[in-house]
Amino acid sequence: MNIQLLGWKTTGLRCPDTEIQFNPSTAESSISLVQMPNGTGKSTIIELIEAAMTGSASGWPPSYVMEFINTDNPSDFGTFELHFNLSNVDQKSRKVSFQIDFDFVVGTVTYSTLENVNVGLVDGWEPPSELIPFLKDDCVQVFVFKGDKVEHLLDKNRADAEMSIKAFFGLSNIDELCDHIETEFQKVNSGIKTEQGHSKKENQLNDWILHRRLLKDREKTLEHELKPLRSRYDESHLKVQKLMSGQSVNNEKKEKYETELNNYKNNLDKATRYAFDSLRNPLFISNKITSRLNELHNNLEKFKLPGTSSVFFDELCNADNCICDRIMDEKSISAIKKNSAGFLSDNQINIVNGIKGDIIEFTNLADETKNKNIFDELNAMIKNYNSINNTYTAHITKMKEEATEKHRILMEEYEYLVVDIQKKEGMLKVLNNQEGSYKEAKKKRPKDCNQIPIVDKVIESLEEEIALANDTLKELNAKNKLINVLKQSSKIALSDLKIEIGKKCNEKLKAIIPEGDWLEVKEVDKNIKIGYGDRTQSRGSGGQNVAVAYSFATSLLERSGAEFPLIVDHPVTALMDSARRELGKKLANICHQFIGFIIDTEKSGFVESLSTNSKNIKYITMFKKISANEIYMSNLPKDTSKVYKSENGIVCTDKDFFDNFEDVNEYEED
Amino acid sequence: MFKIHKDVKNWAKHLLKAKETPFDTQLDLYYLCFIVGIGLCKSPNYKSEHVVDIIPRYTQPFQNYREIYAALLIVSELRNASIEMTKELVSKKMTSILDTYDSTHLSDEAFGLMNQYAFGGFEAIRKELPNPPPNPHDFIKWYYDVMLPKCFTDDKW
Repeated sequence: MNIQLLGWKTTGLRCPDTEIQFNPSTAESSISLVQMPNGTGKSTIIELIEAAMTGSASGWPPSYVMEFINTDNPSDFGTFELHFNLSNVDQKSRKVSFQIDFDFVVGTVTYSTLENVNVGLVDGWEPPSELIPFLKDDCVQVFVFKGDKVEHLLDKNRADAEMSIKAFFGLSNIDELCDHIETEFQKVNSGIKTEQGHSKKENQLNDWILHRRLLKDREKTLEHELKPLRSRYDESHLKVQKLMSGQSVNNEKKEKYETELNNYKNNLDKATRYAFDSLRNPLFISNKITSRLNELHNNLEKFKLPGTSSVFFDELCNADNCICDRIMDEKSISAIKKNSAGFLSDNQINIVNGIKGDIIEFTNLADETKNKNIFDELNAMIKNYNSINNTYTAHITKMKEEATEKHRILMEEYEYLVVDIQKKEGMLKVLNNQEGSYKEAKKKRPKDCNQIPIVDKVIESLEEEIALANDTLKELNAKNKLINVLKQSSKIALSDLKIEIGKKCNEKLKAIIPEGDWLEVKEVDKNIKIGYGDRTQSRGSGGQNVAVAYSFATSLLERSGAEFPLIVDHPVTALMDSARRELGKKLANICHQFIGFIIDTEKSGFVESLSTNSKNIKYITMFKKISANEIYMSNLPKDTSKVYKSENGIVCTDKDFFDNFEDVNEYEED
Repeated sequence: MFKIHKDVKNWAKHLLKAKETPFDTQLDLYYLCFIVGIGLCKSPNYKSEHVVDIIPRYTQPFQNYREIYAALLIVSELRNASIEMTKELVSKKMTSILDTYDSTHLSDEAFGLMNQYAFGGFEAIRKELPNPPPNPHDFIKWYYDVMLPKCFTDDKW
């Protein structure tokens, strides 16, 4: 199955009203470069392409829908149309279109689909049935490359590569099927009913099953909420990065202050601890203490406190005669017992001697001047630290003040997204945590357990007990066998697919990367692992990473039998000129249709190489019709067939205009 | 057992949790309160239900000074009683304060006295500083510059 993007049209949205048309060919690879200055709406268009292909805009909240309104000239409605050609082996090719209609009055979107010209436009998102499996989010993100996609595929802390494979080959459906089998089995065999007469065990099982459903719903909701959040985060992250790089001078200063502040803080912490340690010796604190303790020492020397073991007095009281040979009568014994209380024991005498020794020792060490110096030094360090901290804070305040209101909102949104995503991912982690004992969990109430794997084990255990009692063990084992077979098959299929796609990647890589560049895909796991020979590396150069990502995407598409175009945002921004030239040479070999959204600074090295090595290239430049862009309008070619003008936008397909175009505006978010 | 005013943990939560804080345990704060208590007076408000257990022994940094702390307790008690040091009184005090079987050298009576001083010390500190600064260095500076000069004054010592 071959899918070629024919173009799109936008009206009444925050990007200019324009119509872009491509002329893909089945005979040869076609490449289209769409150049826009920053702030024209590149990210908007890519997001709309994704939304058109996945139907995801139906789930957008009104606040998000309203973000697409044209703020310069707001209108009540807007439209995005996406057109592409679908060719099956056994059928003629046909045009398919998705249309998203925005209602900015109520904040909603609706879809229409053209799937059959004889039927015309129908309400709803209704793609051709053969396309549906490939229009899930995880599939579309394989061929619509946004932002950090290249890095994400290689990132060992993410599972983008695996998720893409599972999505493309329907393996993620198998998990849903297994859940469905479990649910149906429960309905038939284990008594979802809660009528009287059912055993306590069945009611217990029922409670756990209901709780599992609750947890699975919660998991689904979190995953569903996370998808758009992650997408918004990627966009926001890019924008923040652009913003921060635009403030690089301020950032360098900020980093310098932070380093200095950290050094001061480390020294201050050490000085604080030293000062506190010095206070542990009371003789350091006050000369009154020193004086009193020395008085005690002198008195202890003078008094020569009596001491002897209490055993001596006990033995004396039990003896017939005293040591002076007097007879021990009741009166003597009583007097000894009374007076011996004033005697210190040997151990107490040792402590007293210790006290005397320590008083002398620590008095010699104590020096009020030294202690004062310690605290004077601490004070000085606190002053210095506060001074640096104030300078740093003032600098940050200045940075924030210099940022425009829009940037402030951008940063706030970014920080909010980070917190929200972390919170939801944390909750998902808890739900999927396998640690713990299901036997312990089984003794408690279902709602005390929020871990799906543990709940599954409890349910399995209860099912087995009930099955034994009800003599339905055979059915239970059959159900479990079926689920195991499905899961095992899925696991084996995934493993085989990863190996196959890894091999395909390496075949393509050989065609893309320059000679002498030693790089291969070592393994496709949750992420793509690269290296060469015995060496594994977490990432390559910018050019290598891009080559790997494109190889992976096109390998996946080929293997799945659904050849979509590659639509890439900033295809070469991270590459040096040499890498851009190499990519330009090989781009035609990568896929049947390539659409790259670029800015003027990406042309260097890339476009010339592309022009030399590919035949079917379309050069499109698009910009807003505003006063700041007057200079572009004055440079438009005289051949009006290459210029399309709307009320608020201009599209030019002239190559010379494309080559000479330079963005003169300051950074503005898309 | 060393017992501390039950409000200390909450009052000093930022000091205890600060990164690189010199206050490794509540005993560190207990000691600072004890010194202030010794320098001023025992608290007349002391009630056992207002304190919580911390630890039954000194932590390592305090172990070196255990004899000094015992001696300080003795001179404070004698000072509070406003009596001169006589052989009998000192001997009696030593006997009641020192416990040779405890690593702290402190008897139950001694613990009780120390806890009362620490309780009173905290009340005095809190009165001067209802909300401590979150940074340990600012607190230590305040303690040395502001609180300690109020203690061990001629009228009290």
